[in-house]
Amino acid sequence: MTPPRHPFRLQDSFLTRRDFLSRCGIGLGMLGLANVLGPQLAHAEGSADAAAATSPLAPRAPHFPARAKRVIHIFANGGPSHVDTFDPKPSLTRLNGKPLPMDNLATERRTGAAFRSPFEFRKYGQSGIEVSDLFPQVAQHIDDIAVIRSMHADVPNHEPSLLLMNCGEARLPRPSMGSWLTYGLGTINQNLPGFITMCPGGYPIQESQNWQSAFLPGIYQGTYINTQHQEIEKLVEHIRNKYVLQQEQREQLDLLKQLNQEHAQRRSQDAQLEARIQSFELAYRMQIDATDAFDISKEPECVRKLYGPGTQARQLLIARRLLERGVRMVQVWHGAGQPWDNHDDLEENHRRLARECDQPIGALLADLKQRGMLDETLVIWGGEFGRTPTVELPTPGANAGKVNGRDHNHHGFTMWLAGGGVRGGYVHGSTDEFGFKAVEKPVHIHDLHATLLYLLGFDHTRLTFRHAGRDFRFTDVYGNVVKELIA
Amino acid sequence: MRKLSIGRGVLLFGIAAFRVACAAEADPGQAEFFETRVRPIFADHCYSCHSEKAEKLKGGLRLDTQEYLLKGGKSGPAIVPGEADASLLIKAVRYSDPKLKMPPKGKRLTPEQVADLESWVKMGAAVPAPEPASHNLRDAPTARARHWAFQPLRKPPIPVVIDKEWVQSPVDAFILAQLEARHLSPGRKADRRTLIRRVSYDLLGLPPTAQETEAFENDNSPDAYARLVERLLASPHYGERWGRYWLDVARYADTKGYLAGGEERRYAFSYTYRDYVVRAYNEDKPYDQFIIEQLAADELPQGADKGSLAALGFLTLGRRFLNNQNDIIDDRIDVVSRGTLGLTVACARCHDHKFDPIPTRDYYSLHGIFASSHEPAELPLLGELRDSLEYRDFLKQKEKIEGEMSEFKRKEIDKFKNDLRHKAGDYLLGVREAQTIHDKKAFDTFAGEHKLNPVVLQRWQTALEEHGDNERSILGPWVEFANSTNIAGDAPALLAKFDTQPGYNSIVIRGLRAGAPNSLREAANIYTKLFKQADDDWKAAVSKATEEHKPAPKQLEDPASESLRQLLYGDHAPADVPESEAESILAQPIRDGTAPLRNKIEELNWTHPGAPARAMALLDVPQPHNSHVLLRGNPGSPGEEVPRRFLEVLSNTARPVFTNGSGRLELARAIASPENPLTARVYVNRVWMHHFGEGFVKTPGDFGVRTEEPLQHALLDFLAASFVEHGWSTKYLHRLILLSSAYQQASDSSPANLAADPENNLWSHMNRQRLDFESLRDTLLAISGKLDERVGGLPVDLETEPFSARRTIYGLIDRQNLPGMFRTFDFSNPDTSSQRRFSTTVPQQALFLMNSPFVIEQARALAACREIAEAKDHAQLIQALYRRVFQRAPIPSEIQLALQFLQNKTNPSRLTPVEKYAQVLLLSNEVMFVD
Repeated sequence: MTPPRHPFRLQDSFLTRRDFLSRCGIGLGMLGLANVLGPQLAHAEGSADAAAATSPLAPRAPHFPARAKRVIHIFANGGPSHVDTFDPKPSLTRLNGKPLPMDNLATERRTGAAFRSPFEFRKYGQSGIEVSDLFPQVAQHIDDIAVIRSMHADVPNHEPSLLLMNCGEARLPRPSMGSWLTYGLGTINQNLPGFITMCPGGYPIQESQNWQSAFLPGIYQGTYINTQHQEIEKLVEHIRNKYVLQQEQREQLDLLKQLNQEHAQRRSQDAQLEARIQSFELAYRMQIDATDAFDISKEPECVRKLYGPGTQARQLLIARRLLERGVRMVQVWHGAGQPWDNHDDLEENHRRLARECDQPIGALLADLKQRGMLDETLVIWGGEFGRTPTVELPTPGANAGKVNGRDHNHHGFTMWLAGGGVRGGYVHGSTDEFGFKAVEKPVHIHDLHATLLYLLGFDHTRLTFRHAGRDFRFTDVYGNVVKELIA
Repeated sequence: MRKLSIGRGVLLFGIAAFRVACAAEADPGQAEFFETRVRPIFADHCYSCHSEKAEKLKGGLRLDTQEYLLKGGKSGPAIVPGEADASLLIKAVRYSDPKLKMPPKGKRLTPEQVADLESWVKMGAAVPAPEPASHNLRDAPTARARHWAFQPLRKPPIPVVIDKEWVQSPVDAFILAQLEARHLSPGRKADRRTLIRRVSYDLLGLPPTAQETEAFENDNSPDAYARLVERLLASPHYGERWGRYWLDVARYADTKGYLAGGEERRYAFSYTYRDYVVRAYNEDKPYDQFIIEQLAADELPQGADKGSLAALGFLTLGRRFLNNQNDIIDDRIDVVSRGTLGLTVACARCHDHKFDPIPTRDYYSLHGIFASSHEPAELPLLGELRDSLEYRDFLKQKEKIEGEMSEFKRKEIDKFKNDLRHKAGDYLLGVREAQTIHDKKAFDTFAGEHKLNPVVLQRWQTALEEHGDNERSILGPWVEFANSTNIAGDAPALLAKFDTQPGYNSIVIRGLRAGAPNSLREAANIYTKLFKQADDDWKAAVSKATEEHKPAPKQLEDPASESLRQLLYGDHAPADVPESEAESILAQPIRDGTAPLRNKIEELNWTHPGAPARAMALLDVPQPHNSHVLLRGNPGSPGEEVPRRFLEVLSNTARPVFTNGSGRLELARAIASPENPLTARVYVNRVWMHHFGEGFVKTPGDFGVRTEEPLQHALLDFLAASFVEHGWSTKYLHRLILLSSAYQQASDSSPANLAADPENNLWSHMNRQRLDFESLRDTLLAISGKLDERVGGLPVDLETEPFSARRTIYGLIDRQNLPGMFRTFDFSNPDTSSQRRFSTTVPQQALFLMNSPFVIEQARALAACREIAEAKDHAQLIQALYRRVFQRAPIPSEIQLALQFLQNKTNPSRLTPVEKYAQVLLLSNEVMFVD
């Protein structure tokens, strides 16, 4: 068979220049899109003028009607313990301090006896799904949540697992989910970045690789925001001019526009000149819109109260404001480094961490629902893996040797999804009797990714980008959509 | 030809369908769509009844070709191209008509499959003819015979054209021949000002000055332009511009990527590679030599300065992938194959290449070459070492830190060993409790849970089991206690027995008697105390001797104490471990603890002025070896061993096995060979792309079988062959291109040309190009008069104030957290060989230009330039600014706008009206685009 030649692709619109654009304007630019995303792309979500249509962030429709239009990924980085949160294991309580009647599975470090959860579980909602005392507020919404108790990943180490969770590949540079989404869908609000990632106090480990665009154009990389700060200019790069007032800048831009228009008139019609003229207008509006989006003092008192105090509350409330304004994906990390990585003092640390985020996450779900946004907002919660049901043993230089924490566990763990077409009040799959390994209906990270893309309107095998001679996918060569998770 | 209707105002698909109908064969995009989306559905669900394969053809319908589909079966034509709703096939798969449901018996297609079929019909329902089996391009000999880019490079004859006057360079004959064949004329010539600006950016990445522009505009000699080109080619800034293009290919960065545990991420000597590249371009190093040095400089005779060793950075400065060797090798195979050959060899890591004739065997042939190469622990020096005061100070500081490292290690080990001596009882108890454990893993687990070191626990166990007299005298009582089931009751009798029988250590007996243990734990605590006492006595004796300047004692005076001490010190003492053992037990904490010191030593390499430059070299391992094919890329599944040798598809006749060390030099020579059909073509295509904004081949890193023969194949071959003929000289190639009429065309196109050649595939005009990130930043600095023109050296931080005025190529590139500024302006991804940059237009670029302190600084500097600051009125000021920013005079309407702006007295602010005006000019499209 003759190998297919290089076809026109979405990506081509960033490579070709003026002639391509001036010839076809919106039409052929969109044809490029149509070809990669499938011809269902007859209409995009918003209206788009010629300049906007050439924007790599112009809104685009996916392969088929989407259940979810935007995503918030709440990343409990470090690896929250599933047997202490959403996967109750009475057998651990029974066996506490005794060896498991099975070999401990290999994890990063050595673990010992069964280690009962110090937290109590109770049933919530009509579905009666059990949740531990760590997340009573989240549990109020359990009937809107699909709990996946049979997640599994590949290795018990943070770095590869973070990359696998975010980029679908554990080692090599590949685009993150938010990059794929903004590539495939564009973003609705051109005055804000399409993919925002928030982490208070610094970076999680693996740093900006977690939201990298890799071989996709740089504009699809997540815009990182350190939510420790509250001032807008520290949140979004170059969003404010410290030298001139808004009115003065407006005058500058008016002059610029006139000069650029005269420049363009002296030349034959050229879409790339026009696109750049427009980009200054967009930037001008972005300054106002972004400032507004990050200003939570504009929220009514009752809403701020609902989310409660603290950094987690603030960043989740900002996240909601961003989603509301048309940002395609927001990723919210708990904190710099790996806060949920409790090799020691698990009880104390998990309690503290959950206290920080339980109320805000519960509030977010309530808030989204109340605004009618939950139906089209996909909420993802989880870490890069879970933790062992057995106690971690001392390892010099690696832990404090307190023998009261848990090691990483990629064999089985829990994540939950809500909103955006997800089947609420549903538990998918299970781990073994002790919570070590996913045994029933196991869901690999690639399967999760395929499912998330499906909810967003994509056939994960068809959202591709050609790089180095290969059509790359978010799910590489893997992934099966888990239909049971879809309402 | 079938008439097509444009369905429901969906113009897009109207265009798509039109394209298909007009094309003699299926559009490549649609062919791919059919092959990947539609044919699999037909093959799985339809062909068994509706193709030549059908045992019994159902309904008289065949789906193998478009002809059959149009003819249809008993119910009529199966498809109406462009009209899904009118096509029976679509109706059938939709299952909407109860009498027509296909595939039958409820084996209904998924909604996605139906959507694919609908799309395909809407696009025109093209069915590409299957290729005969003999045309399998994954077969190397077939591909060599049939794929244009694999065929030998021959210099084609220069075409004969009508308009001979236009032909300034052979390039023009090729361009013009194609235009004339289509009854088109080339574009008009660009004016002088446009030309000097264009060629300055093309060769230097910098704008010309106003003086240079005026001089060129006024130079009427026939060779004015040729002299201009020569002057620019001779500039030291030429290498910075063209070197940077190569650095994209080389995925150059100054850091290693993510590393855990606080390891230093910066490459101390990446800049030596960058400077090598800049120098190579400035010196017009022959491209074949350039490749050979970058792959195997270590195997070539070195001059005194060993400068070419720096070239090996091409291989070594990739991402480190947490030190995964196979990933590092993969990165090297990729940068070499896409970078120099335009072949995507890395696709064959897990399976044979899906399209190109590159089997996994070939991938692992290259793998063996890189697996047989290693980076020396101490990188080789570049240049002669000069014994200077600075260098001596560098060494002194380095030794000082190394001393601190040894001291840290010493302290850790001492602390660890000291700790062990004070935990004797815990270990004795541990041995007792672990005696029933025979499994090694369980033993280790037990030790962990009891916070004991398994190695030391093992030593105590041995001491108890295989004791000599001394051990017996001390541990004998312990064993007896341990065997007792009633310690409190048995203690008096046991102690009496120890008194009467000889051979027990008196201190131990006394201690046990005084302590009167009621449990084994208490007995253990007594042992801990007694051993600690002996250790304290020993330490006191040692420090006393030190204070009195006497030689260190050899033993304790009291024999019973000495006897206890024997179990605490020495290689065979249970409470001690040999130095090497301690080191290995403590490897992790020592590594972590000394990381800051190791980083400090590394840092000296870029902070200390006396640090000598080194090459990021790669050397052959002493025993080169072949690699095995890793099945599905999995190191756990080795397959057949493959020899180290070149790719089959590029080995025309003989395919020798590499025998010279790793084989890197042989590989390099095979690539940099005039016989290699790809090397020169790929390189020439890139050079053309950087001049014209578009290559002949639009996928510059992929010349594989999926890449169509370019329209100007002959010109590409002519340039490539001439390039090789002229000693692989890049500057020769520049002249060939730059002196052509084609290059000197204006960037506006005539309506006729635009209509006939909208994508400018015929090069009937110049492509307008936007400044890339480097040119943009360098231009702002050049116009503001602040540009620091020094060449080479350590990378500088571009992001923090006070802002560096170095050229952008010298900015530190952190591949792990590439600053937003780089990404916003489409900088190449430093993680993988980059063949061309994206060109996006986004508001974040505008935000940077509007608000960043760097740009404001340049606007202020521009306003402060002498001729502007000293202008006696607005008119003069505007003239001076235009001259500086645009190298031209303003036109009246521009003066008018400027005067209005400058006279506006709106708000007082931190910028003067002139500074604000200067910023506007810097932001203009006229600065940002090159006509």
